[in-house]
Amino acid sequence: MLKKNLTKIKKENRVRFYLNDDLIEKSICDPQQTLLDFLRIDQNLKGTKEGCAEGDCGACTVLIGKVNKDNKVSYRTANSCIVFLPSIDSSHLITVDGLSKGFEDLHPVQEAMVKNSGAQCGFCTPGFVMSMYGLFLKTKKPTKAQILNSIQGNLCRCTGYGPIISAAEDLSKSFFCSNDFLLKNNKKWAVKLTDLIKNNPNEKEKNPNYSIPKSTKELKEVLHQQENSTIVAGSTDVGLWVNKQFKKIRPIVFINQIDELKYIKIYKDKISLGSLVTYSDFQDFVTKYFPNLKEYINRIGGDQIRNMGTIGGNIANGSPIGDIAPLFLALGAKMKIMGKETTRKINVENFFIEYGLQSINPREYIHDFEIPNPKTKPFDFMAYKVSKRRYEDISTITGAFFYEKKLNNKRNVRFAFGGMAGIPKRSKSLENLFKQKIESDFDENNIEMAIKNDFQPLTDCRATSLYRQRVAENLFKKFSYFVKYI
Amino acid sequence: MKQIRRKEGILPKTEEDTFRHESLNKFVTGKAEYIDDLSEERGTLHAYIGKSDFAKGIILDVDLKEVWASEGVVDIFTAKDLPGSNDISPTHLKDEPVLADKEVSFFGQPLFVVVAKTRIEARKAASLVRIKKNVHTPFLDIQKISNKNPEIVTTPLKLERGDVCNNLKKSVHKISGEINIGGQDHFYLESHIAMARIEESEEVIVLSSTQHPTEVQHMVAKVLNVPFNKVIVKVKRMGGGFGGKETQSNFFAVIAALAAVRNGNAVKIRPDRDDDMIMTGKRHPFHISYHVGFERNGEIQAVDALLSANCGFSSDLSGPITDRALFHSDNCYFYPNVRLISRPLKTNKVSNTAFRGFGGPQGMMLAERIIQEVAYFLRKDPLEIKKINLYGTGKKSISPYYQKITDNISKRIILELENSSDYQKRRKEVLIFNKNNDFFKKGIALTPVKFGISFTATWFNQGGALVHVYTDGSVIVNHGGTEMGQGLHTKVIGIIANELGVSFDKIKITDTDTSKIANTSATAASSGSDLNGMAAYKAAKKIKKRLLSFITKRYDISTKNITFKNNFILTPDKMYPFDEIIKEAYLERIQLWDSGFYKTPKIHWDRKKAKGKPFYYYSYGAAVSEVTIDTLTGEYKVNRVDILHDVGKSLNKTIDIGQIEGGFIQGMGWLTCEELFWGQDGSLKTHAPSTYKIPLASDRPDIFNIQLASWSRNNEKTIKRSKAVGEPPFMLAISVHEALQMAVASIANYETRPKMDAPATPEEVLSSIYDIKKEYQF
Repeated sequence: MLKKNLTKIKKENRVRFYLNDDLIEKSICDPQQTLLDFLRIDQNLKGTKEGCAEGDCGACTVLIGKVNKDNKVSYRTANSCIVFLPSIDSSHLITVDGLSKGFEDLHPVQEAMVKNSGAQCGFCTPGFVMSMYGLFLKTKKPTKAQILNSIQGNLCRCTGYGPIISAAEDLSKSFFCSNDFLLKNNKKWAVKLTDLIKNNPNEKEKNPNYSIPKSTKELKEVLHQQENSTIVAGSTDVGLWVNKQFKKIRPIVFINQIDELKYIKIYKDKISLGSLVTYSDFQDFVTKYFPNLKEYINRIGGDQIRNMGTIGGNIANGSPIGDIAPLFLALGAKMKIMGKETTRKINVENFFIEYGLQSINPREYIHDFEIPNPKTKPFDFMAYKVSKRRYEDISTITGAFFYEKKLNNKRNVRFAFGGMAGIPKRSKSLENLFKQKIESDFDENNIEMAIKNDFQPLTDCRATSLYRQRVAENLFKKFSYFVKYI
Repeated sequence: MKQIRRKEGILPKTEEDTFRHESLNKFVTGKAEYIDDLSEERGTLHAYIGKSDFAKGIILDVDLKEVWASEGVVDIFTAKDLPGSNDISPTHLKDEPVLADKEVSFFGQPLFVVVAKTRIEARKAASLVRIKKNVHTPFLDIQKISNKNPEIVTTPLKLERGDVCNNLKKSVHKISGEINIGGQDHFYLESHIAMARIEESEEVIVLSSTQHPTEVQHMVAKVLNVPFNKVIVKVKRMGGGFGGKETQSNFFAVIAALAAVRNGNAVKIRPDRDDDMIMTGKRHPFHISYHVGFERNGEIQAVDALLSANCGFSSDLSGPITDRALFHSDNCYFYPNVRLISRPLKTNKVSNTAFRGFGGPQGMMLAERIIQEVAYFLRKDPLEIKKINLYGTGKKSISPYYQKITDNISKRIILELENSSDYQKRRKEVLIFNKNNDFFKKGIALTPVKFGISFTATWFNQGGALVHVYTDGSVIVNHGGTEMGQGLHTKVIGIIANELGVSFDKIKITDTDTSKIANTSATAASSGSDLNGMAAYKAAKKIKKRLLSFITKRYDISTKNITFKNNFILTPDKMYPFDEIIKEAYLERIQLWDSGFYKTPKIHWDRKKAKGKPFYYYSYGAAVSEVTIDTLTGEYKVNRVDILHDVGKSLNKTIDIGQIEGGFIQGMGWLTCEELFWGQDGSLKTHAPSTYKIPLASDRPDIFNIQLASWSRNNEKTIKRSKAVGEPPFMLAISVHEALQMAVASIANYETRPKMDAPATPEEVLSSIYDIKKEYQF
C-alpha cells in the first residue's frame, strides 16, 4: 500500500522538458530546486556557471524555448540560478554544452568569441555565448545597440567587454545560422514541445507541493483550494527568497503556462495588458506606443531578467522601486484582480497600501492592466529612471509624468515617483503646482517645497535622502522642459 | 633520420606575439574546469561558515544546538578545535585568527564551521546559530578617527626629501586640501573556493582558487600543525583574481583542509557570492590630506601629505599596500621637496587586501589631485601643469624614495597621445559645447601613469620553472605562477615555443603545484611573466644548449648556423624535424628536461631609511577620456577614450591589449559606479551584484582606441625586453575622474576645482554640482 502511494507521488511530480537533445522526465521532490543546481549537480553539466545566484551576473545563462502562438519555438535567455524546474515544463532547454552540435568544432558564436579573444578568465564566457546566441536567434543582423542590449545581463570583470562586442559585430556582418540546429529544426521542436503539452500524463493529478495551471480557470481553482500558495511567474524576485533567505514557499503555483494572460490588446481608447506580459514584450510594446520611453524601458534589468520577469509580477511584489509601477500610476492605469468568485477592478495606485502591504489576498491573482491608448487620445507622457549604473541596476529613483491639456485651459496631470517612499507614490503637491502655473513661472523653491511636502525619502545603499530629493525636483524640471519643446 | 632539403616558403608564418589565450576553446564551450566543476570524490562533504552578526564586541555564548540538529550536518568546529595555530596573518603579525574565539572585530567574521552532506544543508545549518554577545560601538570610518595616536595595524612609512616646511612657506602659492577615495570589491566572477582531500591518511591535497599556492601551503600546515611537505596545493586556473585571491584564499583552503582531516573525507567549501563579499577584504579606502606649494608658472615646490588607509581589523598586506601608495604619490611628477606619511588605520571592518595596483592607484589619485589644484588655481589646462612637472634628468630625476628614474618616457607618451587623440582640438570643442549647453556638460582630460615594477618585499622577486621535453617532441612546462585569466600561461608558452622553435600546440602548461616548484611567490605585482617567464626561458635555454651541442657533434655543423624554428632544426641547407632530433638525443642519453630559476637583479630597499631602488623599472602609459554629464541627475557617459601604453617589447599583443582594456574599465568602475556602502552596525550593504555595480558592456566608451607604444623597449634585461602589464593600465582610468571634474567645473567657468571624491557616482557628481553652484551663486 505504502509502496503504491510512493510510485504514485513520483509520477505526479514529473516535469517534462527537453535538455539539448534529450527528453528529461524528472520527478520533483523539491519544487524549489533551481535549474542551475539541476544542471550542475543532477546532470553533471558544468558548463553553466554560478556567479551570484541572484540573476544579476549572467554566468548561468541558458536558453529556454517555448512554443509561441505562431506555432514556432522562440528561444529566450534566462538566468538558470533563479529558475525553478517546474517553470521549464514543456520547454526546450539549451545549455552551452549542447551548442556546438552540428558543427565541426565550434558553433559560430563560439568561434567568433575565440577569434576576437572574448575571454580572459573564462568564467563568464559560457553565459556571454548563450546571450549572444539568444540575440542571433531572434535578430539576424543586430545593430550595436541591440548587441549591447543583449549582453546587459552579463558581467565580465576581465575583458572590458571590447572583444566580446567585436565578436557579436563580426557575427552580425554575416548571417551564420544556416547550419544552426535550432533554426533548422524549429518545426520539429515545435511539434515535439506541442506534443509534450498536449499529452501530459500527469495533467489531471495533483501535487501538494506545486501546480502548473494552464488556464485562469485552473489557476482560480488551485488558489481557492489551497491556503497560502506562492504564485511564481518569472521568479526573478522569488528566486532570491529561496537562494538567499532559505524561505520555504510551498505550495508554489507556477503560472507561466497560462497563455491567456500574455496578451496585449489595443482598443480604440485603451490598451489592455495581460499580467504575464514579460518586460521584453512590454519593451517592444513601449518602443512602439511610447517612443519617448524607450530609454526608460531599456534600463530595466538585463536581457535575461526582461525575458523572465512579468509586469504583473513587478506590480504584485509591491516594491517601492519596481519600475513599472510609476508608469502605471502616472498613466492612471487600472488593474483587474480575480479570484474564484470575485473580480475587482481598481486603480493601480490603490493597490499599494503601504510598504509590504498590497490590496490582494492569497486566493486572488492579477489578471490584467488597462492604460490609455496614446495613439487615439493624445497626451504627453515622459518617464525617467536614475540609477548608480545606467543599465541593469535597480532604480535609485524614477519619475513618471503624465500631462493632458483639456479644453478651457485646464490640465489633467499625474506625476508619480518610485524610490521616494515605502510605495510608488504620486506627488499631489507637485501636480497642483503644475496645474496652477505655466511652465516659465516655476520657482525652484516651490518645486522643492512640493517634493518635500509629499516625500521623506530614505538613505540607503543606492543614495542619500538628499540626492533623491534633489533628483525628484530635477526630474520634474526635465519634464517641464520636455513639455515646452514638444 | 628524416632530412628535408630546405626550401623557401615551406615554413608557416609565425604567430608569436598575437597568439590567443591558450584556453579560449575551452572557455567558449564551457569545458574549462574551475574547482567547482571538478568531479567530486565519493562522499565529498561541504563546509560552510557561521559568521558574526556584529562588528565589535565579545562573544558570551555560541548556541549550536539547532545547527547540530539541522539536516545533513556531520561536523561542527570552532577556534578551540584547531590543532595548530589560530592565525593566518600573511605578514606574521599574529593578528588574523582563522576563527574568532572571544573577541569579534568585524561584521561577518568567521566564528565556526559546519560540515554537512550537501552545500545547501551546510549553508542552512550555519544560519541557525544563536549568539549571545556584548556589542561595542565599532570604529568604521577613518575620517572620524582622532588624529592623536589612532590605532594602527602595522608600522607606517615616511618618505622625505628636502626641506618641506620651509619650501611650502617660500612657495608663491600654497593650497591645502583633502580627498576621500573609496574601496572596491574584486568581484572575480568565480567566488572563493577550495577543495581538500586526504591521501594515505596523512597528506593533504588542497585545490584552491588562489594566486599564492605557497602561502596557502604554509597556512594550512600551520593550522594543521604539520610540516610543509605534508601539504600539496594545486591551482589549475582561477575565474579572476585581481589581488582578491592573494591572501584571502588562505582562509577557505585552511577550512577545507581542516574539515577534510577531521572527517577523513574530501571537503569542499564555496561561499555564496554575498558571503564572499562580506567575508573577504577589498581595496583600501583612503583619506588623504595634503599641502602643496607652487610657483606662478605652476611648478610644484613642495608636497606634504598624510595618507590614511582604512585597513580593517588586521594588517593583512596593508603595510606594503600603504608603502606602495606613497611610492606612487608622485606619479610622473618631480617634487623638489616632499614628505609623505602613511597611516595604516585599524577599523572594525573586514581586513582590506591586495587589489590591482596595490595602493598605487590611491597614491596616484593624490598626485593627480595636486595637479588639479594647481591647474584650477592658475586657470590653466591641467595638461600644461602636468607637462611642467614631469620628471627630468639629473636632480629632477630623483623620486621621494631616492630611486633615480632612468627610463622616463612619460613626455614622449604624453606628446604622442596628445597628438593622436587630437586632444587640443577636442578640448576646444568641449569648451564650446559647454558654452552652448545648459543641462549637459562635457569634460576631457589627459592623464599619464608611471608604475614601479617589482615586489617591494625584495625577496619575493624570484621565480622558478620546469621544462620537460618528451621523446615525441611534445613539451610540458610547469612554473610557479598562477593563471587567473591574465594570460600568463599563454605568454610562457610563447616564450618556450620561441626558444625551442616548436609550435604552440606542442606545449602544455600543467597546474601550478607546490610539489613541483617550491617556495613560489604570489602571482601578483604584475610580475608573473617577468619572473616565471624568465625562469621558464632559462630552463628551456639549458635544454636547447644540450641539443645544440648534440647536433653539432652528430652532424658536424657549427652552432651559429643552427636555428630552431617551426618544429624544425634548421641548418643552412637541411631541416631536421624537432621530434626526430629529440628521439635521437634521448637515445644518446641527453637530459631533455631542466629547471630554471630567476631573481630580479639590481633592486634593494631599506624601509627604515626609506631609501633604495625598490623597482627594477617603470611601466608608462597615458589616457585621454571625454565624458558628458547630465547636470540634473549627475549621471554621465564616457564618450571616448584614447590610450597609449608602454609594455616594452610586447610578449603578446592580443593579451597585452586585453589587459589594458580590462584594467582601464575596472579602474573606471572603481572611480565611478562601484560604491561600497556600510550600515552603522558595520554590516556591508552592497554585497551582491544587485547592489554593487561593476561596469557593464554599455558603460564601455563609445569610442575606445588602444595603442601600444611599439617603439618602447625595456632598458633592463627582462624577458625579451618586455614590461609588466597587469596593474599599470588600471590607473589610466583616473582620466575619467578628471574629465568629470572638468565637466562640473564648467558650471563655474572653470574658476574653481570642484569638490569631487571617488567614486564619482551620479550622486557624487550631482553633489559636486550643487556645491559649486552654491559657492558661485549660480
